[in-house]
Amino acid sequence: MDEPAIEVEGLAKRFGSTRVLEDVTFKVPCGQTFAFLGRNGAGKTTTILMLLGLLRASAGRVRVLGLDPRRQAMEIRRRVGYVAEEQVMFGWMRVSQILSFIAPFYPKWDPDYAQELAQRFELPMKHRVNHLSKGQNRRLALLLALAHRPELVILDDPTLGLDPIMRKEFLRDIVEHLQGRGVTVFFSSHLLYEIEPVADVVAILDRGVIVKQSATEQLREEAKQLVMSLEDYNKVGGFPGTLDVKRDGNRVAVVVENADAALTVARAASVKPQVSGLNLDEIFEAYVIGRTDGQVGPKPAVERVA
Amino acid sequence: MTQLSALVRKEARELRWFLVGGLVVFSGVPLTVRLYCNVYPTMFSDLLWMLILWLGGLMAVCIAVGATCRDMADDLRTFWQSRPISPLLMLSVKYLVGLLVLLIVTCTPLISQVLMHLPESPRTWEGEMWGWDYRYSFAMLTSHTFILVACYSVAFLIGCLVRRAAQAALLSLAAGLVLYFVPALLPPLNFMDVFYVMQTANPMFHWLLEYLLFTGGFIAFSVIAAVLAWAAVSRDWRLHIGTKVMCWTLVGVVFLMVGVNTLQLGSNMRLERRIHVQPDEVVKILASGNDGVLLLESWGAGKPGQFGLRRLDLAAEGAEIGPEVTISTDRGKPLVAWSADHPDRAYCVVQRWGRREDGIPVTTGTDLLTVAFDAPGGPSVIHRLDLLERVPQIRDEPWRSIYLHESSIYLLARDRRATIDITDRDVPVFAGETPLPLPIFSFPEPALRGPALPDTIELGLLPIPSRSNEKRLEISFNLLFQRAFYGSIAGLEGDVLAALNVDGLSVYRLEAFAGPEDTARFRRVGRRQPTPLEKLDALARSHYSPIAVDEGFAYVQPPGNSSSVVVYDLEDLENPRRVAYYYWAQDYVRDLVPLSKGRLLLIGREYLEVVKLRAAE
Amino acid sequence: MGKLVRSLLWKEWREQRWKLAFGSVTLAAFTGVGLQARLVPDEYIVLLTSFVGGWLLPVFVAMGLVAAERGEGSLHTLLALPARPWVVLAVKLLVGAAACLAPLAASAGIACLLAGGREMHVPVIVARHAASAMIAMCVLVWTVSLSIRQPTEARAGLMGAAIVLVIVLGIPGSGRTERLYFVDYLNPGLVMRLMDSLQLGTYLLTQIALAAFLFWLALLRLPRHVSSRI
Repeated sequence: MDEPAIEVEGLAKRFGSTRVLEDVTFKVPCGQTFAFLGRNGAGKTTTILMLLGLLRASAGRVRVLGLDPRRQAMEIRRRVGYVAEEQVMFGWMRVSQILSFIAPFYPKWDPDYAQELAQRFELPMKHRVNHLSKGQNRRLALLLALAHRPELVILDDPTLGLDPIMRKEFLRDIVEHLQGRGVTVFFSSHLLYEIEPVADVVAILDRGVIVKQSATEQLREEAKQLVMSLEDYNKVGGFPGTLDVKRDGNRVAVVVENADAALTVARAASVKPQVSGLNLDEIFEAYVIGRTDGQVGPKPAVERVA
Repeated sequence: MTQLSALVRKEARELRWFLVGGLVVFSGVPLTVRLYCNVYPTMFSDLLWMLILWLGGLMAVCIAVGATCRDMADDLRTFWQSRPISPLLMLSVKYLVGLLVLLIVTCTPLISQVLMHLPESPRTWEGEMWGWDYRYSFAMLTSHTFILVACYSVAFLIGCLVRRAAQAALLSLAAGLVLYFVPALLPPLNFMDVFYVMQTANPMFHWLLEYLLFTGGFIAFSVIAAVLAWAAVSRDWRLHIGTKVMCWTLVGVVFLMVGVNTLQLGSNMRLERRIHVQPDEVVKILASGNDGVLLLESWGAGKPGQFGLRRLDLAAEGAEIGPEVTISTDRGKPLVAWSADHPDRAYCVVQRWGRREDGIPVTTGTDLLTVAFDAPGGPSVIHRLDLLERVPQIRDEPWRSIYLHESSIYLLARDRRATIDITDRDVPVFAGETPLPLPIFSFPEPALRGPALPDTIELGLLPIPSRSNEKRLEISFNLLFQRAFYGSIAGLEGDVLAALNVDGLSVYRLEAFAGPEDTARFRRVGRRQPTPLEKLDALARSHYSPIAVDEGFAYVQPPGNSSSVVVYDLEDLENPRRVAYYYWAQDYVRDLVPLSKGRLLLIGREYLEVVKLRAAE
Repeated sequence: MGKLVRSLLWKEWREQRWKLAFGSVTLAAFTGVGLQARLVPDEYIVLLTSFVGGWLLPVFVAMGLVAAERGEGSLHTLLALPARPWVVLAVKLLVGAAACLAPLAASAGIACLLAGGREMHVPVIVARHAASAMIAMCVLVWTVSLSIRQPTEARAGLMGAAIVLVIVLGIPGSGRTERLYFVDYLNPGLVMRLMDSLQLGTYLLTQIALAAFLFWLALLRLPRHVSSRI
């Protein structure tokens, strides 16, 4: 399939006078694992709800699997698996009952595959949903999202509330059952370190605006931290694409978007800073709460992401 | 600011809307109604106490649940537990502030009502449920307030245990219903029946001990509930109950009360037969077993005041009432005598009226008619005996009552008695008349018309030669003390007399015939007082209720409830038992006549009904 | 579609059946006890059970259809399924209607058995209960529609009670003695007065149109994007 699984252009959402999303644009090619990162209240869940047609956009264009969520929401939901943030299911139903209940909604529901997943996820079929542990609950939600063999899976902070072991296991399940089969995964989270090993592309959403979208590897290669003395920093007079500046006595650490461009500027000023790599957490932190030049003020103008 | 004042301020702020709401409902609504649509003068006070009576408990529940559940919910509770605040202090402040709010909204209107009317001249203390006397507000203030405090305390405890508003409210409502109504249903708890306490006399004068028991009971209950609430919070006792259990609990409580109510008051007599008698109106029935006669007054077809006699034969399905024999077209109501020994004969005294020159009504003719229902040509009058000719004195004083005993008919006027021999049933013979030593209204009669039944009763006996005292008693009772058309004020069978008023059923036994006064003296041997529930059922007062005693059962129409009949078993005279009840929805009971074997004939305006005791089946 | 609707019906039935049982047992038992005890005329008992079944029980049922699910947090899960919202709402109303009608049917049956031919004839008892059923349907739709955005069952119940009060006190019709105006036909309680009247047709048409409007309003206001607790 050449068409992207998700195509969003100029998406905006306002609730009254409150702007929640502004000019959000991104594409998710088929087969990719796309990580949608942001702090609490950044607008991740709002975006996801608009993809599923559960919320109407104030402006912009959205296509999911080539379909318009406003007009073809049912068709989208039949082909998409969705795990909501804090998904609450029908507590009185037993696991077997909820599978029987959900099955008729999806034309492609595969009962054998559902049973296979239930065994793999070690879900007790006779237990009521409200008697399952948090981990079991999440796995049940994942099962319901996968059993009808969707083309696209949308996971809204699926590991919320799970302990570290459970989170690792959950992500392992995603890798095994989705990435291995070429299913497109749209994954929102604020736990960067766990997204790092699974995400192909990362988009960072901050206050309703996408501040960065890039392949994960490329992001790690481009964003670096440069450490130098205060004199050298003043000699350079500023680096292009500065995300964050921290001062510690006579030392200054600068996080830049594009390490190559920053080093070129440094060489021109005969400064040779120390370069160190950053993990996704640190890169995310720099993008959303970084302070330039050690001052509190408006963040640098954001880059419009193509 | 101290901890105490901080807590008090917080609670006061949180409960302020209950204060406002309560004042609006309990004071504002009656005031608004009074100002803008005062239908009758006492509407304000009636509305005021009715609102407090019926909604006061609900207000207590709302305040208690509002004071507890919010802070006892899991998230806020963690906040409190992590602060250096004594649970006892916190709970005490909550309890007392909430209680103060409740007392302000419910007592302020009553106190103002009392103060507003205090200068008025005092009236006799009656304490009637529907009275508008300001003393009723005082009675509510001094009695109903305690049950409100108890409701509040129980709801407070439940709030501390359940900690979820909807569930706590439902459970508290169920508990409130139990507090209000179970004392009325269960005799051992009757001393805590708030309706009875409010209904009866001035608690300060006659009911001091009962009042102290009442108030002490509720205060103790409230204290225990408050202490348990503190224990529940400090030891983290929790009641996990879902909505389903709450709903079934509430319904269960209501069913319990309705069930007990039904057992105590419900109908348990079987309807055997219903006979429609309109448009004629039944004036009198004499019956026994399956036979009887009806005296009817016809109003239709341009014949006002026409009286007819009809034979009643309950054994004839579908043809219970025979053809009519017209016996009088005069307005004066005839007197009728009949006996089950000869059911096909009835004897009627018909009186014709005129006026003297001075306008005073006089009797212009009095005849004793013999009616034969088995006459060859159909029911008809077969004999007429002119009584005026034989007793001219009745011209000014007519005959007032009649009674058939064995082979004699006794007639009674104000100052004389006559006897008619009916040895030949078809040809009655005048057997003589006797002046009475006293006018009939001077004869000692049962003092049954007052609010309380006496312990002894004297019945005056008519002078009837050649009759034993027992027979004279029977004849005198039926001639002197029966109210001719609306039932007897007491029932007599042999040496047992039964009478009923709002104090309950009293049973008397013949003690002696007092020679010089020529009276029969009865002494009370048993009493059956109404339960609080039975008193609630009889809302109004009435001193006259049809009552009849037959085959060891007393059949009564309870005071104030003209659509029902109650049956008491007099087998044990000292402990009469209420054994049956019948509610007649389609008509009201004008009179009742016991038939044999536990059957009862009820006379209404439109219908006759034959009902039967299930115990007699 | 058939399987989907059956699935939804099964879920709603499982969630609401206890209310159907509760209502039926309560109403039938009260009717039976009241008619058997004969402490008050039969008409009073029928009136009381009709009032409870027609005005109060539908509020109790309605508050558990949407608001309860929203309070528990599973409404979002339900609406995120590939099922049209009108289908979901229609199934809820259908099951709610059954939970309201069954108790009235049970009460009518008991009343006819115990009291038919006593003071009230069977057709009169049946007609009274049918009128209450009509009222119950109206109150159910009113309450579900207007309380659809309430976050908890308790609040939806309070709103339902307020709606009943407003209908009974605010909309004329049941008390008016002279000619009826259009606004009177909006009161569901008017059916009690119109049982023998030719105006019943106008009443029915008005109520059906009103129900359709309220259903559409409920669909518009259905909170689709609320995901979890309040």
